[in-house]
Amino acid sequence: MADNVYKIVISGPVGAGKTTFVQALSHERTFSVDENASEDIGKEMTTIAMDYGVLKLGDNRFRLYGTPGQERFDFMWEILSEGAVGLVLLIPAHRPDQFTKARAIYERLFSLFALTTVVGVTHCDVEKAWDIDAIGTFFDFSQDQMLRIDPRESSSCYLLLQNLFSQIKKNQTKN
Amino acid sequence: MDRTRINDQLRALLSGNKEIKGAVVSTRDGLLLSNVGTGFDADRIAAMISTALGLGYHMLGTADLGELREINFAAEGGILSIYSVGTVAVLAVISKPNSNFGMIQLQARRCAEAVNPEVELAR
Repeated sequence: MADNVYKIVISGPVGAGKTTFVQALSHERTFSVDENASEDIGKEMTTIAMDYGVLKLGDNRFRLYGTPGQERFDFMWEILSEGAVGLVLLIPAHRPDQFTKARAIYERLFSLFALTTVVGVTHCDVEKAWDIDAIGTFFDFSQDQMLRIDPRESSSCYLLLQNLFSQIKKNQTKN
Repeated sequence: MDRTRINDQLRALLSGNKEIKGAVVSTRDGLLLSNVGTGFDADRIAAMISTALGLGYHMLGTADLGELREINFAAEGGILSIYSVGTVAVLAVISKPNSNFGMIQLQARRCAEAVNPEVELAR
């Protein structure tokens, strides 16, 4: 029998850790379509098209699509979300100036595709990072759909994906 | 950043061929550098052509076809062609339907070569 395949979108504002997240979770060959950033966005490279990776968990296969974070690439958010069943929204806790952008991405994707969503709060170890509870209040997300993660460490990324998977399953049995 | 010389090259491209109705140059990460012609949102096109070029490179590499030469999107209303400008920028040329496309390709490639040093200078 063929594996169960789930398409998952990883999105969020610039510098949240989307590319790193996809690379941390993928067993098979990944690819990232990125370029040198012309502007000062706090890092050297920026995603211009997508990140792609595949994670196998038992009989389940997750195809991970990371979006660009910069607003001028917003057309890719919708293209990559077509046919997806879940959204991993990454929010950089140390960049409150990016929160409204994160909300705009979430509202756009949710209104179009009603994706089951979990939230990964990144960069929590940075000075002046917002507390996860405060971020939950700001976005009106419930704490059981949020997790502090470090995209460089695959273990925390796994936990977040497992949380998403169980919510997807829950929503499937509901319908 | 002085972009007038990039713009001069685009104007020359359009004035040299009436079948070309627009041209856009963007950075490789999708920021608009210069545009001529009307009837399209140049900022949006600038972001989109960098995405297309980036994907094109990966696609041709994955298919083991070597270096990308150009990308063409053809539609009822015309053709949008994308060229790499050296390693620093992207050129898109929008032409009318039923044009002499071989001539447009030739002129567009020459334009990409002429724009390349101007982009380097403008950086």
